[in-house]
Amino acid sequence: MTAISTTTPVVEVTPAARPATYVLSKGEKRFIGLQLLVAVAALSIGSLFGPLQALEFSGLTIGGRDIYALFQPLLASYYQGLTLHGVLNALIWTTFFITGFFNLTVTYGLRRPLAMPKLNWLGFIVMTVGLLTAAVPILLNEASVLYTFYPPLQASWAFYVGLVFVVVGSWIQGYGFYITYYRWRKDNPDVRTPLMAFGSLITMVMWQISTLGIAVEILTQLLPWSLNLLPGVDPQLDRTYFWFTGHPLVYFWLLPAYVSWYAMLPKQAGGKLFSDSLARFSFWMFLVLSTPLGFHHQFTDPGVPTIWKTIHAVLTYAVAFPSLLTAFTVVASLEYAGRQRGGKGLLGWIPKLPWRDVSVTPQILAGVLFIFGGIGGITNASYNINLVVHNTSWVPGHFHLTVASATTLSFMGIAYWLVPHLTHRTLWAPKLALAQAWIWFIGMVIFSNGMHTLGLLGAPRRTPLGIAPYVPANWEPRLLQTAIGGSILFLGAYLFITILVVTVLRKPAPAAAVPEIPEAQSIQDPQLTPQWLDRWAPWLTIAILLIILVYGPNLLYQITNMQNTSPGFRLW
Amino acid sequence: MASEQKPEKQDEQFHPKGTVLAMVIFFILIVALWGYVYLMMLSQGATAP
Ligand code: HEM
Ligand SMILES: [Cu+2]
Repeated sequence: MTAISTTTPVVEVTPAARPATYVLSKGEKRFIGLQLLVAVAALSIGSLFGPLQALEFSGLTIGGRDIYALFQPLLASYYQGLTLHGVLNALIWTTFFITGFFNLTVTYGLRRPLAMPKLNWLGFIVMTVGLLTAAVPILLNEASVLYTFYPPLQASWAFYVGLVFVVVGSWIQGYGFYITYYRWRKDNPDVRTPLMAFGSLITMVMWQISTLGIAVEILTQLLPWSLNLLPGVDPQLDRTYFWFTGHPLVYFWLLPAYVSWYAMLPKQAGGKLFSDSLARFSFWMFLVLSTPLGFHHQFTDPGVPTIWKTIHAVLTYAVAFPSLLTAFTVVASLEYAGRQRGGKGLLGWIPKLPWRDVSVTPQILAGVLFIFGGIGGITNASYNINLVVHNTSWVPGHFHLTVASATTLSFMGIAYWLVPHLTHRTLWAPKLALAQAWIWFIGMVIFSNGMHTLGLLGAPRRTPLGIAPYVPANWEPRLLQTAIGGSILFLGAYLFITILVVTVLRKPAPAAAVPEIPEAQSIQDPQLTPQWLDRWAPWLTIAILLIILVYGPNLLYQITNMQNTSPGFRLW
Repeated sequence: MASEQKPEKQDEQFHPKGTVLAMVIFFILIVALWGYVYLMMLSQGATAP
């Protein structure tokens, strides 16, 4: 193994000194805080239903009736609850947190205010209007189509309009970031883009490209269909559009956590980023590889020829590479931090990490859970093995390790410094916050292990297993395990929310007691990172070319042979 | 700032040995857990005609 190239002599190539810091204005803080508020509000409602589902699995009855009977008529069915859970947690909590967080990373990273703050406000308002528009039909049980809204299930038009607004609003915020970056680049032609802004911008561009899938799906098929302007839709084509967006969606959730792991966590842990070049390279890989592999969600779709499924399966292994690279770079940065803190031997740096830090511990635990999420992902991607787990509870078991852990638990760790920073408060009950991270971790280990195992035993997902008549005896202990894990997670979710709410309600603290924005230095001066790792044109070109190559032919075929024959169904 | 970014003494000697070990364990885990599901696939009759 070779050492990293720190032997390169450091030349002074930084053209203009970068300001040491940037103080967010009151208005900027309020704007970011508002986005986090919507995010946490969504999580607080969405997280009511996950544990309810898990409890239902245990067959818990009250007065001889399934627990869902208790909530009628407020909650019409398991599926209305599951729609709320998926939409609020996976789509709303994530998206609003991400746009809020990126306002900070772009502004602070570039050390300048947004070029057009009103544009970002407009984006946020459009997102919020969209959220409310979609929420009404879901709450009225007019859109219990789950967060994937596959046709021929048909929701009220308002649900589709709302989703489009959320997506378009996030694009508008993205434009605000691009313009800010463009102006910064003009002023700083030869400077490497500061990493936290760099990762955020790539994430937004990736999102912009990939959400074209659901935008086209909704605008050309689902919306006119729900308004009776189209007699039917083509479910196969719509699934293809959906997964054009659906897989990159998972990177939209993950990359903001990576931004924190690369550009902030090393500093919080007391070290430096191990390699600026590796970090940038993996972000570019995600831009290139996130989208052209959506067919790996459609391995069982009869309308997609095997050859395309195979190509997408291969590209899926390719996208595992930047995640492995991330694992390596982040762990190496932590090892560096642990050694700076006196850690010796092969693994002696691990106990030396600042495990008492309320922001560091959740992020490390998120990373540990993500290891297993990643392994499950590689398993899902394996064409034939996928058939063992497809549509079983293995799949939610898997993505609670990714979006509900790698992402959500990281965001919790971020919130523990970010909310105090934005509101000029000190965090309420930091020890409890630390315990909260461990509670989430332990709850998730129990829950997710139960769900994975159930899946291997053949239990279907998206099913109220508590009332299923076919449950064999060997599922029973696992269903109970899942319910126990889910209850612990419920505690974790509500502790998190309580800690934030009480923190915000506290008296303002003196400036010195409020956490600053952590920004990690890299071991090597970023100016020494090769310029091709800070150039958009080549990477964007490759990304678009690859999408055309591996989606183009089949998508074109599906569009030209479109059969809008399926009427809408309402099974609830 | 550039002046802060000069590598320190420890930086130059930093070999992430522990990380390499962690990655090796990670790869073993991938193979083991993937293999487990693979065997399960076989046991479910994936080889039958
Ligand atoms: C509060 C703790 C949580 C518990 C106990 C929980 C539990 C569950 C369960 C049991 C299911 C499977 C339902 C089924 O397939 O029938 C599920 C589905 C799901 N969960 Fe969670 N969950 C929690 C938090 C989260 C979070 C934080 C997220 C995302 C950020 C999330 C995202 C999802 C998604 C996207 C689905 C799939 C919905 C669908 O199939 O349409 N969950 N959850
Ligand atoms: Cu995927």
